[in-house]
Amino acid sequence: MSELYMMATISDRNQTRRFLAFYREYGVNVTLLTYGEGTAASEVLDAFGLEAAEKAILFAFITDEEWTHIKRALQKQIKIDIPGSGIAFIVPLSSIGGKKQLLYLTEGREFKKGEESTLKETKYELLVVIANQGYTDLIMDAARKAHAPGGTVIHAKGTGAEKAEKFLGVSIAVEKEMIFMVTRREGKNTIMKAIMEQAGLESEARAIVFSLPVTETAGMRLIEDEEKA
Amino acid sequence: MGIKKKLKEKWQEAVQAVLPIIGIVLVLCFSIAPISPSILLCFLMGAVLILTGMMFFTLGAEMSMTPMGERVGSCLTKSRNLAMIIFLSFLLGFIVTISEPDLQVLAGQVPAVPSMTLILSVAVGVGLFLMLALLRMLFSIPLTTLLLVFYAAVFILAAFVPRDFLSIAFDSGGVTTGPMTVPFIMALGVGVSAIRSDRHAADDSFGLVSLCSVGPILAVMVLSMIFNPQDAVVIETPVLEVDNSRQLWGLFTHGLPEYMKEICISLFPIFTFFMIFQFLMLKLSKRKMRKILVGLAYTYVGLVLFLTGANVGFMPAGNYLGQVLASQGHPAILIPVAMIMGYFIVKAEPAVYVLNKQVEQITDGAISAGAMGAGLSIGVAISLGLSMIRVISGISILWFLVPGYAVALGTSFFVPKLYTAIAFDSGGVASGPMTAAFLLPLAQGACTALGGNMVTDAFGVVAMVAMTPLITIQIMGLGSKLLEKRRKQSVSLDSPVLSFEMMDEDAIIEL
Repeated sequence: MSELYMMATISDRNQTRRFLAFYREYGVNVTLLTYGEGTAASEVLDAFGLEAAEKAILFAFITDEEWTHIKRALQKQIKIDIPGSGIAFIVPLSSIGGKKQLLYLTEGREFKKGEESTLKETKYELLVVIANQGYTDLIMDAARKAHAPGGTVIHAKGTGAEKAEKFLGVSIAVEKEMIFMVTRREGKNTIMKAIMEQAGLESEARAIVFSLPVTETAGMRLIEDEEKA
Repeated sequence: MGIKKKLKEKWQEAVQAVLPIIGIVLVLCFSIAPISPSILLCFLMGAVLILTGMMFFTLGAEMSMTPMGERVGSCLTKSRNLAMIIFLSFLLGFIVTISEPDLQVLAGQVPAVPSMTLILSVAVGVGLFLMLALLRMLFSIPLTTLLLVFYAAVFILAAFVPRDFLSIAFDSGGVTTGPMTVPFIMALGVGVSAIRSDRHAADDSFGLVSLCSVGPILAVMVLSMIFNPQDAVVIETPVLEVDNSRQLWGLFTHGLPEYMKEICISLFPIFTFFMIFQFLMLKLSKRKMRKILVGLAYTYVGLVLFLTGANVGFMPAGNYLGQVLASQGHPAILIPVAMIMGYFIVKAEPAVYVLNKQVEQITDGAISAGAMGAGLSIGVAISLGLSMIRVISGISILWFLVPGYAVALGTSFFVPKLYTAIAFDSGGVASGPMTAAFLLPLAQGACTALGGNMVTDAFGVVAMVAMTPLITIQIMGLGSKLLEKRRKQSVSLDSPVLSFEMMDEDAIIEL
């Protein structure tokens, strides 16, 4: 019995090629690649533009058997546990539209539909914040006060409930920012609260925050060690 | 950790960009082209300045010019105020061009036309075309149509322009879109498209620079017809001799304040415009503003060092190398040498870095910075080969430009729109201060040695450099299109998974 997961890998942008080559070697099809920016860890360094802030996010779909395989390889080959190399984590999928699409994602790899599974105890969660463009600093300030780790921001467009506004020949969307943070489950609620208080729907940022279960991670060992100590 | 990593990355980028061209020049100097040690020293000193300048510039452009352009661009679209868009885009094109340092140099080379008249009319040209480019996006007129119309106009006008002026007119198009204009105008396009949700948003992110480089060509042509000057005069590069290290130092310390002043004047209008814009409409957070200001300071330092290095150190070396190579009895050797130089020198062009980065960002890595670099390098290598043929043989530039642009415009019908826009942008981008300060002198030097007509034969290098990338980048696009087609055919989805056979095609499968 195997389950299907979405695997996300976040790394520095100049490492992208290395990761892509690695995944190709292991037969993982990276379905989506997008560029984002790391949130600033130090205000001073950020002001002087000296933080390595450009990130790449890779999404791929894998089964849990593949994951154990890949995790080991990530640690050995990419040395993902060395800080700054990047992180990878998996989020379980709950459903998918269409048989063809499923085959596309699994690419004919061995995949059997398992029983409907209950969520395992997860150690980490993926916090997703969707907010108006330009408020990342505000949100991250709030989150950091609640001991959040760094995050990665990608630029996005809101589609809204109504039809997009037209101006002459172009339709105009609202600019949004999506912030991804991988946090420990225990600390998650305080971070979410802090964001809601500082940048919630009443504020200009209009942030919406939700979390997804992250069943396993790679490349976070050092953070874990630090927390233990 | 962060500081070291970032600085190391930037330093490596700069070294990778500049080192090859230093290597080539050194190899040439030590083997077939004997040049005086003082020129070699100047060159090396210039190379150090260019390296440092490049590092600061790339860091600064990322932090200031790009976000400034993007914010202003998206703010313009968001305002949904047509009158304001028209007015501001004209104003922006105008002030950005006036401040372009390369334009001042160009103005000096055309003494028949008063400098101020020339600068103002070129600036008006760019302003009008930037406005047109933005309106094109809003009214969704295909870029190719406009390019066709305007290049047709350019070539029709070319028939009436004094022969001596043709090369300079075409050069001006490439020259005005330099290191100041490109990052800002390109980011402006990205910003305007960033908040669009329609299908053409990505295609439209590029293409502004391409239209903006048509403006100056037309402006200079029209001017030359009005003033009907007899000839353009070329400013001779002074032959410099340094006897000792202090004189060498003096050469650079003499140039430095000049460029400090020049770049200050260049950055000032954009800075003022942005501050007013920020105050009235943008209202960015303090932290963002601080970062932009620091970035501007980096850009300033970077450009000053870069231009000093290029003009004081590289220009005489280029000129002298050209002379020496041409006077060795085998002028044909110029062709392969110039091609190799061209291949590597584009990478040292500061605006190219910004373009490649921007392209990678917008296409999410589908067109990588490396692929762009390769396309540009090949393009410029070809153009330099052709330029040297021109220097040696004295064939009119129109013999190259007319078929070149015909091919470029023709292929645009078969190539994905995005590639066409990027290609036409890259033409203006590839021809920046490096071309003006090293390749043009190289051609001039060769021309002097061969006794050719400097005005018609040596000039035009910039125009050639601005033309060939249009073709190579589009061919790259054509290749990617074919590849995609083949890939689409090869994807088959017929591997059956037993447990799903019972299900409907469109079933939502709970996992």
